[in-house]
Amino acid sequence: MVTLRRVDKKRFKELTYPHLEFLYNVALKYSGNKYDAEDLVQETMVTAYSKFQQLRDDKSCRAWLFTILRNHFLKERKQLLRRPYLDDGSSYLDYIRDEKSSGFVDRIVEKDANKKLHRVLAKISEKFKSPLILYYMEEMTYQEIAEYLDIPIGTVMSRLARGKRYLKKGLLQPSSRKINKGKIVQMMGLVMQL
Amino acid sequence: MDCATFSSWLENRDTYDLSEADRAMKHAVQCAKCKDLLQKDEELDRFVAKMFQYEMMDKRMYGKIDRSLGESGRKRGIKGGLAAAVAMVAVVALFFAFTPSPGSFSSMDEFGRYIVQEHQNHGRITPLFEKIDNVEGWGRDNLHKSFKVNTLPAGNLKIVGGRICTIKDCEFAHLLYQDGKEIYSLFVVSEGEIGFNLEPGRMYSLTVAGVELHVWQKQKMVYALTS
Repeated sequence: MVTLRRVDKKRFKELTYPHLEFLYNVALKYSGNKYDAEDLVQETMVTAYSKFQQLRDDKSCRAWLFTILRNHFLKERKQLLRRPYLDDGSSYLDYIRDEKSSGFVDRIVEKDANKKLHRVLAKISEKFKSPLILYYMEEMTYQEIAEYLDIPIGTVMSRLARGKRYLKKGLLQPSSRKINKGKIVQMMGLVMQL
Repeated sequence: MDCATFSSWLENRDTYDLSEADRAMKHAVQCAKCKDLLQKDEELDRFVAKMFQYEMMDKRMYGKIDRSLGESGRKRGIKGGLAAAVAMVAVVALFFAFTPSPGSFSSMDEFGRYIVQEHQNHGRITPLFEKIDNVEGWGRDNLHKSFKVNTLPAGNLKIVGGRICTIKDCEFAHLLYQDGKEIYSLFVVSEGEIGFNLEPGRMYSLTVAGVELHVWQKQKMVYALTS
């Protein structure tokens, strides 16, 4: 019995540890900070270890781990997800239309872009966030995302389109500090989703 | 395609098919503003993709996870052990709850009920009863206990035979007596097996299901006679 567990642990590590960086980065995008991300990865790995016998196909290990991590995130952040995303109904293209072409992103996105990315992602529902992470971070195709999230490809396409809109707009919108200095963004309070 | 349609396509291009993309590109070639917008959106897209690039994970995470797995295994072991222990205790408790304890009668009433029932079921002359010449010797040989039946509370009883029977896991000597047409049963059991105390020398009389029963204790043996 002891020998069997040791062998299982070895195999578990061989199969799962190569995906730790991936899990950590997904967790980072979900949670927005490294401490929560590390907790999330640890919880994921402990759960995965206890349910290792449920993994039927070694090739699907990455997707299986992703699903466990996502479930942990959803479970723990359930209440946050109920918070509606507020949008003024304008297009993100409005922010870039009048900008000079080259290097405009650096000019309008704040210096610490990563922090802003996490702030914006935190306001986006998981159903849009997950496709975004898999698309931008893993460069997955629609089909691959659909398989990972177990949703129809059409749903992936529409969620990705909406997710990109929310994300780009969030990044381009000036922060509240800048609004106070004079840039005007009227929040119409429209509930866009959820 | 006009500029408004182009903007709509640009914002939602994931939902459009390739033919729409072709139309949009043709429009962008002809429209400088839309071409500029397309380039900016692509630049923004690249910027976003760059922000999604992997960040380095703290290498100590491997160690942390290793320890978590170890603790998880131990917890599972402890949990498993506890669960097994609890299950074992439950099984034992259930066993004792539903299995009558050997030789234990909770009261005189229960003892009486069992004795009368046995008498009613088997208290008649049948081949089950072995002919007995010497009760003391038969008792010693069969019940492995020494008991004497010198006097019985009922009148002129003559021994018919005896058998060994088990009632609630207690071994009894069932002796059959006859007085005329009446058949009497005398049950003899070791005092330690019945599970309740009797005052030595005292005669207990009770009636169960219309059968009168006399119970007494003498020299570490308990006697019960139906009449």
